[in-house]
Amino acid sequence: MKGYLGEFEELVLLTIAAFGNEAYGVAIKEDIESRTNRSISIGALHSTLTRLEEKKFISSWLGGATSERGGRKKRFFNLTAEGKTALSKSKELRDELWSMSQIDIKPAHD
Amino acid sequence: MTNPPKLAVRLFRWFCKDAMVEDMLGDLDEIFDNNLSKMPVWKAKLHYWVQVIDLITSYSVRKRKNDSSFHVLSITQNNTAMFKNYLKVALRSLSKQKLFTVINIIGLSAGMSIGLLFITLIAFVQTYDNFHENRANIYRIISNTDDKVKTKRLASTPAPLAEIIEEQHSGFGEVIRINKSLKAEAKYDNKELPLSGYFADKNFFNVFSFELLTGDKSMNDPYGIYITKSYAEKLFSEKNPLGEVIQLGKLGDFTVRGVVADIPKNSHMWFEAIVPYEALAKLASSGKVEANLNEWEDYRGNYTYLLLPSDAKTDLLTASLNTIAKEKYKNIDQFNATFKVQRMDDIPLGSDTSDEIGTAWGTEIYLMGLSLTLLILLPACFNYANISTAKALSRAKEIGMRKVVGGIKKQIFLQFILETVVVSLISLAGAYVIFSLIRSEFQSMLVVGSTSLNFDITPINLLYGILFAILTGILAGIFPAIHFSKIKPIAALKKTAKSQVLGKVNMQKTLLVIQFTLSFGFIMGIVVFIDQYRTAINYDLGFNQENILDIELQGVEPENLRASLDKLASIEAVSMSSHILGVNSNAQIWLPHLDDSTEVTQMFIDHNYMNNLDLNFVAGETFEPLNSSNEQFVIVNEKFTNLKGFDSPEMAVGEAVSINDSTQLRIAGVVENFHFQNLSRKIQPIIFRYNDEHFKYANVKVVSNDIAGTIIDIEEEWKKLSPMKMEAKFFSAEIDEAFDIYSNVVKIFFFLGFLAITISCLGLLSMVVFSTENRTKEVGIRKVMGAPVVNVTYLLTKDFLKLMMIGSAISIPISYMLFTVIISQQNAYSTGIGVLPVIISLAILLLLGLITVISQTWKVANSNPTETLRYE
Repeated sequence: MKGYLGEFEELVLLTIAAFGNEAYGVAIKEDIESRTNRSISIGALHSTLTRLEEKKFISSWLGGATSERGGRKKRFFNLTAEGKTALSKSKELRDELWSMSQIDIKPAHD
Repeated sequence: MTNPPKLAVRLFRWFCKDAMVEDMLGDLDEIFDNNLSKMPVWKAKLHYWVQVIDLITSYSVRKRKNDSSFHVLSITQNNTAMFKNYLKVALRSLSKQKLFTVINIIGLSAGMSIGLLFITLIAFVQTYDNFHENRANIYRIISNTDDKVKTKRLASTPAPLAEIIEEQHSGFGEVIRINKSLKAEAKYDNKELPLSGYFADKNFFNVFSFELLTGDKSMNDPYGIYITKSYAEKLFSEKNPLGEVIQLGKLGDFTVRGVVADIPKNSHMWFEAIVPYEALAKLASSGKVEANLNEWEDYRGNYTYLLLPSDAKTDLLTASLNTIAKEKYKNIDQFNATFKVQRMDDIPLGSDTSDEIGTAWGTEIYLMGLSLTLLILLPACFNYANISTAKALSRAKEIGMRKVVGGIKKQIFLQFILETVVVSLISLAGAYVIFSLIRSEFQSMLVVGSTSLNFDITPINLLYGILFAILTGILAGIFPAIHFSKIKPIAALKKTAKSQVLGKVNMQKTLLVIQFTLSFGFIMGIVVFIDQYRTAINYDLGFNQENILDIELQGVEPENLRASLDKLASIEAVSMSSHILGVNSNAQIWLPHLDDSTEVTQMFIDHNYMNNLDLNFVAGETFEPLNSSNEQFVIVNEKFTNLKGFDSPEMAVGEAVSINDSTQLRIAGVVENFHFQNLSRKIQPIIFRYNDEHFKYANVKVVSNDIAGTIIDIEEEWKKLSPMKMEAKFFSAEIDEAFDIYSNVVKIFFFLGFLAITISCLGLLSMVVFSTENRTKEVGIRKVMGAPVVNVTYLLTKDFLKLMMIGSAISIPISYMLFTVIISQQNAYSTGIGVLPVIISLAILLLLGLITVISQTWKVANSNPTETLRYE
């Protein structure tokens, strides 16, 4: 398997997957921030996006001009097939480890 | 609505250069907008700033920048192919316009040759004293003295200072006393040679790295002498000098204890011999040398050098020296002094001190070199800028095309700078040729006795030279490059870009006017100096120089020579002297107890001397023939009596004069003032004494018309008396040489002026060629309509004539004032410049300018209209 998926990378990939074709910088940032309750720096996010793109896990394209945000274009991200494989491999690994683990799984919010 | 901080946006854009970051900016804006609803504006702005910096330092921006610089449309890449193209186009366009290229290269070569001179000079000065191993730890003490009349910065110190330093700071380092009064005639085996050198402490050779070829460094023999190799060769020829005894005139006998390698050219010290300081002390106490080794007010020729440990604190030392000074000078009226410790590295350039031990440069050499370089080089650069911008039309299409296919301003700019650098590098070769032709001349012009100057090209100089050429290229190319980079592609391709010659463009006019201003200055300099030079040669110096032949005695008994020469009918009289009046300058003595204790020139003469030179007595009379009681008397000039405060010359006769503590003489006569030094100085006091031991020259007054025959006769007589070759020179020739204060200045000015004028004329020529070329059609039409050749010529010439007049009008008052100041420094008896040189200079400038202009305009005016009108 090519490349190792870091925790943050995995988080970003999954978020992109959740957005479908509507994933762009600020949207990803705010989603992760609200779910994980931690603040992400924009520099770190873009660096991770760049690295993921270099690893060919995601692809990006520029959207059309928008009326919001000063008419500036958005860069949208989408998972590639490789990205999906990487995610599923990572999930398999976790599932396997979970199934072998002796922790009683309880819902986190109980 | 609140906008994000502009500065941050700008910073971000600037930092990212050509990288695509629009989406990032969008993200930043969106976050900013969201933040505005959550927090106060200032906090949102701060947040924005933090994020910008976060992004700038992040990997994502770095990556995007990196990508963009390798992008196909990138302009920041280092594209060698493009440079090759620039170079090719540059060479093509240069060879296409051969005349202008040649003019540019000649002009730049001429200008750059002066720059090369300056660079080699500076590079040489930088290497000063670098052969001393202890260079970094050697210091010398310099002084500031104030005798209430004048303050002076001296490189010398009072002789007793060294002893006190040694007492107070024993073990602190080494102290070396040097006294440069070692001057004598060295005699060995019937050979006599003048010798000059230093008395120096025993540790001299340990501290300074002058290489000892043979002999012993210790200098334990007080009457031992160390001579340089070339001096040894002169005095001893093939013989091994070690252990031989030299007689140094009245100083006595000295044994050669060592031979020193010749002093490197880049040494600030220069000597032919070193004698231990012990000898000086002994000679001074026995009165054989006039030296005040215990006198705190006498600085002349006494130097104190120090070798300190590398961690020495020189400011502490300086402070303690000044405590000594305070202590020593507190009881002396009218005199005060302070001392300072100076690093050896600072000696050649940093001091501006007088009473130097050897060669020193002072910072003015930098200023002089730099301003001369700029004065010559700038006009050459102006030429280049002028011609290139004028010829813009021929390049406009190319530039338009380059811009259409995506060339940006910066690239066009770079292209033209590169083109100019190519020209300046070619000119560097030309400059080197000129430089090799003139360097020996310059060497002799810049310094008297120029042995201490080296103008050789070393690899490092070559590197500097290339750097200099590139700089020159940028300097010359910057105007045209800016001009070209601004050309609008549409206008250029539509062929509406106008060629601008002396039309609306004021820059070209201004540059031409500046050139004429400078040229006029140089022409006037030449005219003024030649004028002053002529006046100076014909100046009545107040004594007779004609038909006097000075023969060096070289050890021949004066009276024997006189007796044998007196027999010759063609000789009127023979006199004897210790020096040649006005020629040897080292005859100064220091008279004590004279009111302002000036230096006085002293000469020894015999009874015939005054008659031979036609010096007039205002009072008293000359020495009596061959009477040893003459030694009790002295003849002085009027200036001397004024200085001593006698009411009239008559009153002075018979009065006593103290020469030093032990000698008192009576004034036998007073002569009229006359110029025995060159005219840059006011007449100084001079005294004449009688002592046949000091005679070195016989002055023979020849009355015959057959000069050559007489010299042969004299040589016959000489051969009977001496085995040596007779050394004789005519007094008038020697005086001309010694009084020739202008020849060097005139030479320098003539050369520089020649360069400046050549450059200006070349610039003018090319402008005229270009503007007339552009007007051939107009000329053709005018001629068809019936205009006479003269009118057409006038029409084409008058613009340039106007510029020349403006240049001269600016230059006349400036040059006049400048040269008045220079002249008054050079000649204390000058009567000013006058109007004539101004008129002559103006005429020369206009003549040169008009010849240049009319040579072209006349040609065009005479052209056949059918030819010129057909060219379309």
